[in-house]
Amino acid sequence: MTMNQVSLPKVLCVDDEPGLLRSLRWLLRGQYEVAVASSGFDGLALLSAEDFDVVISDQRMPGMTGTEFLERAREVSPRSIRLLLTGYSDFNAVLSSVNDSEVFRFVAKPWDNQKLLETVGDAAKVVRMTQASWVDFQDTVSADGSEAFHESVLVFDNDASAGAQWQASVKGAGKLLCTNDIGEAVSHLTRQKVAVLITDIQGAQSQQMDLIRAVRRNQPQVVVLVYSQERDSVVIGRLINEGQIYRFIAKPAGPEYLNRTLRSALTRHRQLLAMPERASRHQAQVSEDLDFELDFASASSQIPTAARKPISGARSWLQRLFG
Amino acid sequence: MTHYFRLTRYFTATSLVAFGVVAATLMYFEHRQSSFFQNVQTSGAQMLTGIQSDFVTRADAVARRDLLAVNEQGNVNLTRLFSNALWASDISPYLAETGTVDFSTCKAMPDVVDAQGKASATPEKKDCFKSAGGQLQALATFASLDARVREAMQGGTIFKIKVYDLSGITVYSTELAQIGEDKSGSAGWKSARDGKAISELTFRDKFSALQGVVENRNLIASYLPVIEPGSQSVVGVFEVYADVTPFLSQIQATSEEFKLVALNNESRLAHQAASDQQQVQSSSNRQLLIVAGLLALLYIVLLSIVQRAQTVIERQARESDATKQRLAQSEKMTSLGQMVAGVAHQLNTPLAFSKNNVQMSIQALDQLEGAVHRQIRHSSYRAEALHVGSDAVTDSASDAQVAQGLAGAMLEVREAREMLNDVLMGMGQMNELVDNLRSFTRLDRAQTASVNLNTALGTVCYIAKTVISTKVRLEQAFEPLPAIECNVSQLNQVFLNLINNAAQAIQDTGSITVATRADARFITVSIRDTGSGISADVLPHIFEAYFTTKAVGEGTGLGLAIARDIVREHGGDIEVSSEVGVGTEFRVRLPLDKVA
Repeated sequence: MTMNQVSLPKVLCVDDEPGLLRSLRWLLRGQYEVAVASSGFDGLALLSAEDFDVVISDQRMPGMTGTEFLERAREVSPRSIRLLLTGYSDFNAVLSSVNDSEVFRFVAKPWDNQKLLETVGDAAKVVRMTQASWVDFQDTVSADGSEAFHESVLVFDNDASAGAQWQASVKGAGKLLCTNDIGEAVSHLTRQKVAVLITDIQGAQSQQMDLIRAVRRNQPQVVVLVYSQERDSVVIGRLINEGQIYRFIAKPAGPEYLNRTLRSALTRHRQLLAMPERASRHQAQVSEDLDFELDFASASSQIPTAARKPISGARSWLQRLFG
Repeated sequence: MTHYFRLTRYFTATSLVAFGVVAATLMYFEHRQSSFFQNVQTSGAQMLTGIQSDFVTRADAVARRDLLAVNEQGNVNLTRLFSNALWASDISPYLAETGTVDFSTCKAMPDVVDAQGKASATPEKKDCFKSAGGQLQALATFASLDARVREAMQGGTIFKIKVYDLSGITVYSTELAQIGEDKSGSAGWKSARDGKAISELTFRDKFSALQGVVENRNLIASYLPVIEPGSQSVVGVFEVYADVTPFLSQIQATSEEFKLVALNNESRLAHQAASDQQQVQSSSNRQLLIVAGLLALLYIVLLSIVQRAQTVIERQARESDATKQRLAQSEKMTSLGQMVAGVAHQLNTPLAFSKNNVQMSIQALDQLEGAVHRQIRHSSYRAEALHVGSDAVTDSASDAQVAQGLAGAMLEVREAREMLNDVLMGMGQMNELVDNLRSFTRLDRAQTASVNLNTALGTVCYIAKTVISTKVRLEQAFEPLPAIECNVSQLNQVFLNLINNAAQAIQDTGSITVATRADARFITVSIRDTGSGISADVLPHIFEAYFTTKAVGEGTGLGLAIARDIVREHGGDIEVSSEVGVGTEFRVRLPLDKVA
């Protein structure tokens, strides 16, 4: 018993609501060694003092928001896995949780106890697989960001001008494959060694979402960038949880930003290739798209085929190619 | 209602005044022109009259002068012919003989001078001359001369011939009584004596002529110098009276004729002028009429333009009002949504840990129940075993008591667990409410998204139930729908508005049915109520902005107008059918493929 206790994963919970902290402590005790902090500053102090495997933070806190705290936590304790709790999906918060905090999961309040336990469990398992001497990946992009690279980059966007924009923005590009056809995209992914997938997203039930999920499951070394006009925080929340995308870029963006982001994604890809176990830190949650599944199943008999074709088409493609 | 600028009214007033001024000015100028024309004509007529009368007068005078000249010349020729013919045989001897009669005594007799200073001969002097004349007639050559003169003048127009000697004495006259008279004072005689013939036209009402006494005659009296044939010296003076009455009457007739013609001309001119004037008048009237007609036409055209502008202005004002109202409405919705979202977030945190705690408490109670059950079983077993051995009655009894006590406590634990389950359920409901509020406002979601309208309508119905009367049943009849791209929060607003209207149409109890169905091109959402219905005269107006049947302050009259705008922005349409006393059905049709 005592031996077990030593090896319990350590979880840090940060929230300004003491009731919630106590509740989390009760939920997690026994399986984890739980520490709590009532603000981001306290949390950072604890983090610098000792190692934590999992950091759970609320988004809305006075003084320092959850994403700000997690972003700094990423610097202080890169090895820890970060989870964000939120009662309200504010678009900027979600965007920041992808791009700045690189959170593992985005958890909506109120949560389901069982699922939260599973999520924390997943996080703890992942973090245990990485060594204690984990150093977060360093952004090694050179100042001008123009050195040549040989990897393939796939741009999957219905808007042909997006491909041209990437083409123009990225200097010294290796192979930039552009397509607006899902079949072609999948064929590129399976036949070529694609390093980065850049895709648009149109809603949570779009074929791009399916593609991202499939890539995450089957080719964990592929880094996913989403370049989209989508402003639905729920969709982006799902891109985090189910797609573990690397960055979300709000369309339209300047060429400099596009270039830097792509370079950074390439570096991430190279690190993933060098240390495949790192990919587990970015494993995605299995979709629990009950709405989607239900609608899909019940509607299939009544809805005109034209209306469901894109979805089933994409599905069958993915099923066939990724098995 | 706000007051719009009354363009038509102002235009009508201003333009009527302007047109009145223009018309008055035009009429004034027309009048001026017409009177000017009349003046011109009058002065023209006057001038013509002047010219004509002048012409007639001159023509008359010229005719008389010509007559005089022609006759004088005739008389000169006649006299010359006469004296030439009779000179040697009669005149010369007679003149020579007249020298024998002495007139000097008579001439020496004094004249009387009247008040005006005019000298005239005394009767004695006249008698003296008369008697001298008698002496002349008694001369031997007189008779033959007189006979020859009368013979020569027979049948002519010469009424009288008188002969004067160089001293002015009438030496011969066809009127014998005048022989011997002294005419030396006469201007005509003086002129003729100086060698210059002179004539004058005179009218005599009574004249003793060769042919006897004649009346009312125009005569030309010529004083003619008698030139001695063969020389240029004047030896005497002839006075010849020629009758020109026919000529003069001819001249007068001609003159009369001229006058008549002139008069005719004048009257013709006057007639022409009158007709011209009338023509000018009528043409100016016609012009005025045409101008008035054009002005009226212009007025009508402008009025129609202005009226159209007025309707456009009013419509734009109404539209801008409606837009403002809609903005205000949407702002209200946004701030309401923000509040709801804030509340939802605030609620979610306590909900999260409460739910968490309750669940854990239930788990703890479950564990406790398991432990207690085991203890009860253990105690009962022990009690039975002891009872069989019947050694320690007190132990057995205490074990049985323990088991009994624990079983009693267990009942309370079970109750507590049921209570906690109810709490969990209650929190589930709160959670559902928060979720529905959030998905109704969709403040944290994209504005347009691909959604299943059944889900959205489920939320709307959930919200609507909290608003409408509990006596109204809200039924859902959803058929499976494909997802469509739409602005969910706006459509939510439309559906909630329609359901609220339906609920308000129901007086007491009734039902509202929200039904959906899809065909190849459209999704149709129908909201049917069993309310009072909408009468046929109101039905066509219900989508008009500001149309409301509710009391002032209860409704803006914008709900349905905004609803229709929203549906139309989605490429769809909204229609209504109603029967008074039976109910109303609104159908919202949204296209599956929104064509921009």
